[in-house]
Amino acid sequence: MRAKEISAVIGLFVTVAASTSRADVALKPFLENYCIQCHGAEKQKGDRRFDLLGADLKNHDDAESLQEILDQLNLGEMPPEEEKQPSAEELKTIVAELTETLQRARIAARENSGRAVLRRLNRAEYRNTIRDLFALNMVDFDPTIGFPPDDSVEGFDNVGEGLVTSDYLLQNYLEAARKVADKAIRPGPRPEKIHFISKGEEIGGTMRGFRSEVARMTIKLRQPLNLSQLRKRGVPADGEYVIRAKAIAHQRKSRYKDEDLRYNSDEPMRLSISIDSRELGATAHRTIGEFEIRDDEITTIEHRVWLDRGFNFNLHWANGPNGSFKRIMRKVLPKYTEDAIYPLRNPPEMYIGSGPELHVYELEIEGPFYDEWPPAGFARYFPDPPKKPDSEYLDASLSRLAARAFRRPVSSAELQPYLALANRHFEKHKDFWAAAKYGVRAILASPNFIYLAEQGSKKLARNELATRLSYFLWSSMPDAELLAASLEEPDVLRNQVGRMLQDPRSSAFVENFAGQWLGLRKLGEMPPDPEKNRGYYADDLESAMREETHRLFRHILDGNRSILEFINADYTFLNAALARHYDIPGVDSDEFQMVALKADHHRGGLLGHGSILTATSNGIETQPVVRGVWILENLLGTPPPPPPPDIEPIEPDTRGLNTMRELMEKHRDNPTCFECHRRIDPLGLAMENFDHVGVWRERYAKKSLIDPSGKMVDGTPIDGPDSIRNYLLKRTNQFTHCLSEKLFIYALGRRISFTDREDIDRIVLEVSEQGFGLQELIQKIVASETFQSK
Amino acid sequence: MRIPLVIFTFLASFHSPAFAGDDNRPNLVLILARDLTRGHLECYGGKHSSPNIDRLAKEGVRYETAWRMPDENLSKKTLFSGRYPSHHEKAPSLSALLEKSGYQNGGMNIDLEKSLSFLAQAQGSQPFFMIHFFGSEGAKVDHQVGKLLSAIEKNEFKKHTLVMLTSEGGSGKAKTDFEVRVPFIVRAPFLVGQGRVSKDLVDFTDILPTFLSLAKIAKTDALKSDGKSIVPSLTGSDDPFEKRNWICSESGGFRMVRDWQHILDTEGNFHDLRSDPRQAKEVSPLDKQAPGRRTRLQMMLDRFP
Repeated sequence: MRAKEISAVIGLFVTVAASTSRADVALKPFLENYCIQCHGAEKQKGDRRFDLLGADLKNHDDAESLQEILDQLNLGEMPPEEEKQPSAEELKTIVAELTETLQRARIAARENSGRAVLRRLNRAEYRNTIRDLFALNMVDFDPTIGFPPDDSVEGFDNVGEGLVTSDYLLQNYLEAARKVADKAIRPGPRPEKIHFISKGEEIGGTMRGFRSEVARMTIKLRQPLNLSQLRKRGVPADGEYVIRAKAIAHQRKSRYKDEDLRYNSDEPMRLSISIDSRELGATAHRTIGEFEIRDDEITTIEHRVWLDRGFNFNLHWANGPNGSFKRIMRKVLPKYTEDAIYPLRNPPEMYIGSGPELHVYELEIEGPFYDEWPPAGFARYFPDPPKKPDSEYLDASLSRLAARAFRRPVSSAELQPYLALANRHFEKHKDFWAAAKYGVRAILASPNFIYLAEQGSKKLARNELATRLSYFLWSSMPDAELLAASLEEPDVLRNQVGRMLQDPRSSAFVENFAGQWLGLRKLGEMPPDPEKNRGYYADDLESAMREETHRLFRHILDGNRSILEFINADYTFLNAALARHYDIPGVDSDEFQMVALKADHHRGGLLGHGSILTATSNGIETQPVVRGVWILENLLGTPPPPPPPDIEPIEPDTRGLNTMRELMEKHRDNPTCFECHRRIDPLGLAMENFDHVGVWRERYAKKSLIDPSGKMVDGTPIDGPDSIRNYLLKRTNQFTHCLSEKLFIYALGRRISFTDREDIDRIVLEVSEQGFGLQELIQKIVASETFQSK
Repeated sequence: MRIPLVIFTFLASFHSPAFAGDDNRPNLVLILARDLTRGHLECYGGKHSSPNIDRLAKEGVRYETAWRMPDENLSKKTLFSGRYPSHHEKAPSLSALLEKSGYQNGGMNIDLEKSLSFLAQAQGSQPFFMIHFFGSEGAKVDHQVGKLLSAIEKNEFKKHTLVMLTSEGGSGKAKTDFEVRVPFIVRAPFLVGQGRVSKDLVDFTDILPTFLSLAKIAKTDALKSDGKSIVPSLTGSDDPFEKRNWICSESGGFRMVRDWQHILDTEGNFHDLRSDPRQAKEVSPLDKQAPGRRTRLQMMLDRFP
């Protein structure tokens, strides 16, 4: 529980063994002839220097460098076309030489390995593990709320190297353990039910002088409505509640023009319910349901929802008039009545009732309801508590919990400190349940829980494999079935992977893997300007865009479809708002649906996804460099080195005097820039037809025509997104390799080492021959030696 | 106080061919009680017992904010013309308009017996209108209103008859809200809404448009009134655009207007009637809303010639 104990575990890190290999005669002259000029003592283009590189592979870094040289030669990217080129014969010799050298180095390295992967759970994993350990509803309960954000390494936040532990984090672990114990250990009787019904003015939304039996949301007053009984403290206990409301859509079509109210009178009115918690503040706020309200006829809505203690709910007019009521008072009202005064205040009696209004007559909440009591996640460890629970029951219960929490069998000797701690508390305070919570806290603060520690031999033990697998596909602990399965049998393992991908918990894989691979988490970091992109916010396009990409990933995953569909799918997933944004007709529903794409839609594959196009822009305009780097890094797997630190970035020309292309030409003038930008810029500029929120355009705002043409380093001419798609489809191996490597990093929770290359290369080859199925790729990764070894 | 009874009698009755036969327009009965104040009536929180008028209010809509003109003569002229006193010269006449459209004229009576006998003989086939003036004390008025009401109720046309009761005031020149704010009760069983208390604004210019609207007499420029029909208000409409958002009382060069909260007159008196119904205090300079409201009321005052 103390930092000391945890740091003892951290000490387990094992040094990576150095590999040796014989010196090589062919390498040195080759490097001197074709490489050192740019990557030597004088120049280190791309931050690479090879003149000190020994072929005896004294250290790991040298081996990684050789691997990189080999990759560049294989891709034909180096030496650059304008430099002296090696002959085909020379190339063949050196590639064979390097391949063999590296192969030997790998074998040597592996013989010496047995590196224990030791890493702590990241925030998402911690949350999910708590959820599954105690069967808790975690939608509004986040014990990790104060945790510092996890650093990313190689683009993923589950890589051990980045998951450092600090004193601050340890404090948070202790606090989180306390919160979880309080939440999960619920020995008391079933909480009492509440049932509140309020009418009219009790709900809010009424004014002096107006009908008191109806709470109304109007062109001016759009404040949310709620139950006064919950305003102070929220609901009294965690559980499922039923919310009911009676509402009526009044005067949906009124004298006001839609554009004056920024409102769509053709849509039925919609009422939404949101929940929040005073204690947790804005982070806890979210919408839980939306309902259509009939015109001039009472609509009764009913919604069941899990609410944590202290939560309250609010009703909103989801598609009511927009913009400030001041604008309506100043600019709109005087257009419709000569008695309104501009710009001063008019009495509310003058306009309340004049426009569309949403009226709520009755609001009700009832609950909490429970399917079972005591809750399953509690009864699992504390079954049938006796009237006077004793120390024996305490030991047995905590042992049951520890075995699940540590994800492995636990010896009684190992458990002794935890049990002793709880028992001492029990003896001293004579409060069994306080002692039980104390014991639970000790277990949750243990490194055995917080760390994924693999011990012993090179090959993973069954429970270690189960754990690695479940954190890969679920970002959470293994369930009982997975722990019990004979994973050493390939068929069993295969079936389990299939089952896990069908389980709802696999949404964590889509969110965390796809979200990080594609940089979707950056969406929202530089959001579009709210004044100039009203629709983006009104329709919540950010969520819709993210959803589109998640759905594409899910679809390819579920159907074991070809990963090449990430590049050129002829379909996508849209709701009405996103379809409008993309200018694709025929989608009317707020529900997402699969939509077939035509060539003139310019969509298809990730390159047409609003999520990626927006995430690679700065909210005001596109960033071709960021887009180019995004493609190199995430689709081609050849990220350029970061710009030299002494280079001023080219400022975007917001006055619009120059086109983006003219600005980017500046990269050509400086050879240091041009080195990398000749690879980046053609890709980025070819995407210029998509604006900063992913809308297709032919011209810039200042009317100058967009020129998406360019030439890749290897001479391939490029002209717009379709040509990038074709470019990628001619390099399926490279793309497959890139995705496989990303999957491996995420699956292993560590960087890829040159020792893993053999498995990756083999899998890429096999997957390419077998139709590029995504599920098959994952199966092969799980089946690989790399995945199953330390 | 004893007040002499004045008789206005219109005996002539014309039949308009347009409405011959099946004419289902409502009967219109207007009761004007001279100098009847809110203080006379229990339903307005007064100390005197007024069971008959209270019942009328219970079966109809009772208006909290209804203004007469500063004196009785101006009130009557305004009611018949639908226009404020400064516009009176161009006035049409309510009675003439109703008669021309086919209404049977029940007269403008001060004699109760005359009104009662008219109601006793009235037929359902042709709608009628009648105006009855009372000039007696509050308690006596209530008793006599009771007689009128039972005469209407004895007949089968109760459901089809609008009864409007208010007061035209007296002889003095009123200059405040509490003087010109009169009882105003409307029972119209053929419209929805019973037993309601309305905070909608009404003044005497609204009576003519209301009657014309119920009598389905088309609005022409000649009939253009300063007021608005209160039919939407009677039916319980929420729409403020169908109702008044200010009312006025006017006499000679003096004019005052109010909305739901504030009053302003041409002598510059401005008061918040919610906190200061007796108009005794200045509006606090800390009240941020008041200046805007005052500007709006000033705009209304400035519209008059």
